[in-house]
Amino acid sequence: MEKWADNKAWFLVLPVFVVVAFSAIIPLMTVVNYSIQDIFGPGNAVFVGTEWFKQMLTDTRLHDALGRQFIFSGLVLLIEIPLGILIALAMPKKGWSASASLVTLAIPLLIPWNVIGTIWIIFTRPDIGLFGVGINSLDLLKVPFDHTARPIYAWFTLMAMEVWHWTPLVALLCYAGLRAIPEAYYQAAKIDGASAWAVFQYIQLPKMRGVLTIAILLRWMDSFLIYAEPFALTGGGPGNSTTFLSIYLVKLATGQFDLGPAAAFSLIYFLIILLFCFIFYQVLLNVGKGEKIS
Amino acid sequence: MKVQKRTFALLFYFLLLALPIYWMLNMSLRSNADIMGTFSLYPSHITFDNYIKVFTDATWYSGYINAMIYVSMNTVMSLAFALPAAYAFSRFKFLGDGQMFFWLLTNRMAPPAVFLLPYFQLYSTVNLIDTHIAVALAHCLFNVPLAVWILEGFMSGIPKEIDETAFIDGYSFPRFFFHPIHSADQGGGWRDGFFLLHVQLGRAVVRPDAYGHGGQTDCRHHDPHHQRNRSGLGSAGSQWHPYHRSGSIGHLVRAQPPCQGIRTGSRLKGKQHEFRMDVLDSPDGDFFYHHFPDDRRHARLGTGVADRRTSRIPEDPNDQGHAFFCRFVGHRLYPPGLARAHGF
Repeated sequence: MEKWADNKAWFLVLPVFVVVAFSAIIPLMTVVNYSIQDIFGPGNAVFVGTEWFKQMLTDTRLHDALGRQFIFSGLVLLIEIPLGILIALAMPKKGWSASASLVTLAIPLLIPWNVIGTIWIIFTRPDIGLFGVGINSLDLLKVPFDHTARPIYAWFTLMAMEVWHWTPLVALLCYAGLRAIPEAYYQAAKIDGASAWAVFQYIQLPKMRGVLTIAILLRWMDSFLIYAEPFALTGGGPGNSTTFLSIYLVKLATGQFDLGPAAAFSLIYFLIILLFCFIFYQVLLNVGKGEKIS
Repeated sequence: MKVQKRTFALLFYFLLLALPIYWMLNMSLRSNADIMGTFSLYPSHITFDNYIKVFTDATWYSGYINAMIYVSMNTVMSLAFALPAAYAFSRFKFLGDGQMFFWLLTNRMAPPAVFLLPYFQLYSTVNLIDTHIAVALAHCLFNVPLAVWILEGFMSGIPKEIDETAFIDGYSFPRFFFHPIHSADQGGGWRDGFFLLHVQLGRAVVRPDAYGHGGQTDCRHHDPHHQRNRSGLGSAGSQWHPYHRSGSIGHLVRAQPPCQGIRTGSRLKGKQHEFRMDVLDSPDGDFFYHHFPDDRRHARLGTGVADRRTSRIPEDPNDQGHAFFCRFVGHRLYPPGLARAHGF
C-alpha cells in the first residue's frame, strides 16, 4: 500500500515518543552515567572513563555467560523449530479436533513466566515431583535426578521448561503458515505423484518461510533475554552453570551493587541486542519480498 | 495407518503438555503434610484449603488486585498512546518513520535487567516508588512498542480507501478517528454508534475475522427502492450507507446519491452483464473492490490503489461472481460532476 507523505504524522507519534522516552531514554542515559563513574555513595562519584568497559570486556565470567547464552539459544532453536513444524504437520486440518488442538496448544503460552518456573520445579523435584520421582524410580541415572545437584540436570530441566513453554508458539505460527497454502497445490502434487517428503520440501517448507523466519527470530531474541525461568529454577546455579547474561547482570547490579561494571555490562548487552534487533528488522522487512511479485 | 500414527504422536505430545499442569492441580488439592508425606499420582484426600487461603488471605489476594489495577492502567495507556502512532505508521510516510519504528522495536527487545537500576533511581526522583502507576509506566516500555507493532499490522489491513472516502466526505481527522459514523439510512440495520476506531479496534483486538466472514450478506438489500429513498437526500449529504446487516466493514460502504450507476442484482438477473472490477489484494488476503460499469460513465477514485488486477466477473445473483460482489468493501460510484471534479 502506498502511503501518504506527510510530516504532520509526527504529531500522532509524539505521545508514544514521549512515554517511551520517559521509560527508555532517560533510564538509558542514567546507565551511561553510571558506566563512566565510580560511585561510592550519593553525591560522591569519580569519573573513571572507559575503565569499567575494559574490565567487563575482559571479564571471563561475562564471556562464560555469553557462551552459555549462545549455546542455550542455539539449542532452543534446534529443538523447538523442528518440533514445532512436526506438530503443525500432525495437527488436524479442520473440524472440532482442530479447534481443540489449537486451544490445548495455546495453554502453556498463557501461563506467566515465573509460574512456569514454579510448575516445573514442583514437577521435577526428586521428592514430590512426578518427573523427578518417576525417573529416579526407573534407576537409569548414575546420580539421582535433582536439578540443583548437577549442571546437566539443571540444563535439562531448563530446556524442558523452555521447549514446553514455547514450542506451541512455533507450532501455532507454522500451523497458520500451513493453512494458508491453497488446496490446489496439494492437488497438483498428488497428480504428479509427489511423495509426502517432496510435498514438504517443495510446497510446505517454502510456503512456511515467512512464518518460520518470524518464529526463529522471536525465539532467538526471547531466549537471549531469558531471566525468569533460570532465576526461579536455581537462581543461575548449580555453581554458575545456568547463569545467562540477564542473570549475571542482575547479580552484578543488585547482588554486589557494582553499579559501574553493571552499567557497562548493560550497555554491551544492549548493543548485542541492538545488533540482533537490526538483523531481525532487516530480515522481517525483506522476507517474502520476492514472493509477492509473482 | 499413517494418519493414526500422526494422531497418536500428537496426543502423546498433548499428554506431555498437560502433565506439568496436572501435577500442579494435583498439588493444589492436597495439604502440605499430605504432599510431603506420601507420593501419590492423584489427590486421595481432596482439600480446598489452599484455594480458600488464596482468596481470603490479604497477602495473597491483594497481589491479584494490584495486578489488575496496574494491568488496566497499562492497557489503557498502551492503547491510548499506541493507536495514533500505529495509524501514523500504517498510513503516512514521514521523516524518520523507519528509524522511529526500529527504535520502538529495540525497546521491545531490550533486556529488562538493563533498566532495573535506573528505574529505581528515576522513580524515586519523581516520587513514584511504590505506586501502581510506576509499574504501569515501566511496562509501557515493552507493551507500547508491541501494541504499535501489532496495531500497525492490523490497520495496514484496512484499505486506505476507507479513510480517503471519509476525508472526501469532509470528515476532519479527529472526527473521522473518534466520531460515530452517522447513518441516515432508514432501512439499514445499523445506525450511529459505530465508529471507525471501533471497527479498527474491533477488528484488531476482538474479532480478527470481522472482514473475512462478515460480508456474506444480502446484497439485494441494496434495491432500487432504497436508491429512490436516498436520492431524495440531495447530493450535498453524503451518507454512510450501512446496508450490510452483518458486523462487517461492509456497513462502511457508501453510496453517493444519486447513485444511478449501481446495478442491482434484480435488474440484471439472467442478463449476464459483465462488470469490470478492480481487485485489490489487501495484505490480509481480503478482497477490496472498486467497480464501475463498462460504459465508464462513472469513474472510481483511482488514487492509492496498488497491485491492481482487473477481473471480469459476470453479474449474476446466483453465481460465485455475485458472492464476490457482496463482499466488496469500498464501493464507490461518483456522479458525473464529482467524477469530473476529481479529474476522471
